[in-house]
Amino acid sequence: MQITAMSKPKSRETVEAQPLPDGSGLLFDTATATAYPITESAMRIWQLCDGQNDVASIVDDLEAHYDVERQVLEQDSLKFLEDMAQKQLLVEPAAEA
Amino acid sequence: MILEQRYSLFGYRFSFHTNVPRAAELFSRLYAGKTDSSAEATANLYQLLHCPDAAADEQWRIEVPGLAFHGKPTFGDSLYSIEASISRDLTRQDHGLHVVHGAVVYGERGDILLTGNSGAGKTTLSLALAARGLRVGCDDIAVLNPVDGLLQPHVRCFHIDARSAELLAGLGLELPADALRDQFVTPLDLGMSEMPPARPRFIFVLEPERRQAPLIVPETQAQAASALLMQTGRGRFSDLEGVRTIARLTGAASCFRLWSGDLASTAQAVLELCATGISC
Amino acid sequence: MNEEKNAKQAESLDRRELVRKGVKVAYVIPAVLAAVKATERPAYAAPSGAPLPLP
Repeated sequence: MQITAMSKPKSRETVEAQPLPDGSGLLFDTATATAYPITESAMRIWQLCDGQNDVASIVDDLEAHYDVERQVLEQDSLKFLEDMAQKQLLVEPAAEA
Repeated sequence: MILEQRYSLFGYRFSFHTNVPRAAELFSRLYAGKTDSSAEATANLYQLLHCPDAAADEQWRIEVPGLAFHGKPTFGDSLYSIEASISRDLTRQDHGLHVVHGAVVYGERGDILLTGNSGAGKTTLSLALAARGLRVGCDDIAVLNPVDGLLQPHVRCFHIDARSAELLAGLGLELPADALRDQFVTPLDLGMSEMPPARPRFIFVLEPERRQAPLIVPETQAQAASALLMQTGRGRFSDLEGVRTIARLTGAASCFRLWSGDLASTAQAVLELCATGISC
Repeated sequence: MNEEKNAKQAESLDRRELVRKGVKVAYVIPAVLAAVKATERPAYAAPSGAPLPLP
């Protein structure tokens, strides 16, 4: 699954997300029984992976929370989403009618 | 004369029989307050018999559920093996609780959970903290209730060898000579009679690698949860239930990863950190 | 080392307050920190020590 700036990433249904009070998060893929602790910014991205938000709007959200150049946020987000896709934690969103 | 005692630990009921009064005394000290008052008999029998008239290599008879053994281990080794068997059998019961590898220490600013693989140093660090005046609930196994999130120490003997005893004496922790001789130090020997359930405010994941000076690094609650998950038996829970319960535990704590240095400095570093009372 | 630790902890406290106020907080790159297979846990957390049989 390829992730580009146009992608609207969607989390796989078998993946349970457990947010933690310090902002970090624990993703648990019930299909493979694998737990993935992720950083706060990653959790923020994950929670926006609903198949509706494109990468640009995900980066908008990050920009509102972090004082970091947009370009850096874009690169980091794409890299993280590619990693998520490689781990098969994301699915192709359904094609729009 | 066979001395018979009955105990109940987290609902695991068992009997301990022995013809060695010292053994009965030590188990009575270890499991103080855990006597089983139920009239119902239990088939879980642990037995230690000294047979002085038997051949030299058959003078100790040890029985645990499903296994009997003759041999010539030391008295201390026999006791420890029986106690370890009890602990092992307890962890395999269907008691609806999560069994966690960890030491529980009660601190002034909040309870502390030390977790990590066997050999990471939970026992020596928890006893070093005891030498500094903290109370140790357990140094090896704690039992986590998924309903209320409380962590109950499982009381075990501290199996302290000569080297550890020397280290701890150097820190000011004096242990009773007879308990050391038998290598069966009970929490009562350390002045601990009550082990209330804990809700850890500080969780330290101990790394096995030793350093010259201790290093403590903040850990995200998620990372601590994944580390602690590997220190928790699956029992009868689904993996997802385990993840949720463990995340609830770390979510209530400040979490750290610890590489130990020398014992005194490491204990001091942990104390100082916990004294700041920083919470998540 | 103590000052550094205290500074990091103070930062954690301030972070929550800042997030509540909508202020931008320190950025750690989005990343997966580990992958832990829950099935690789033992069935039961084994206590340390030597249950029978003895050597």
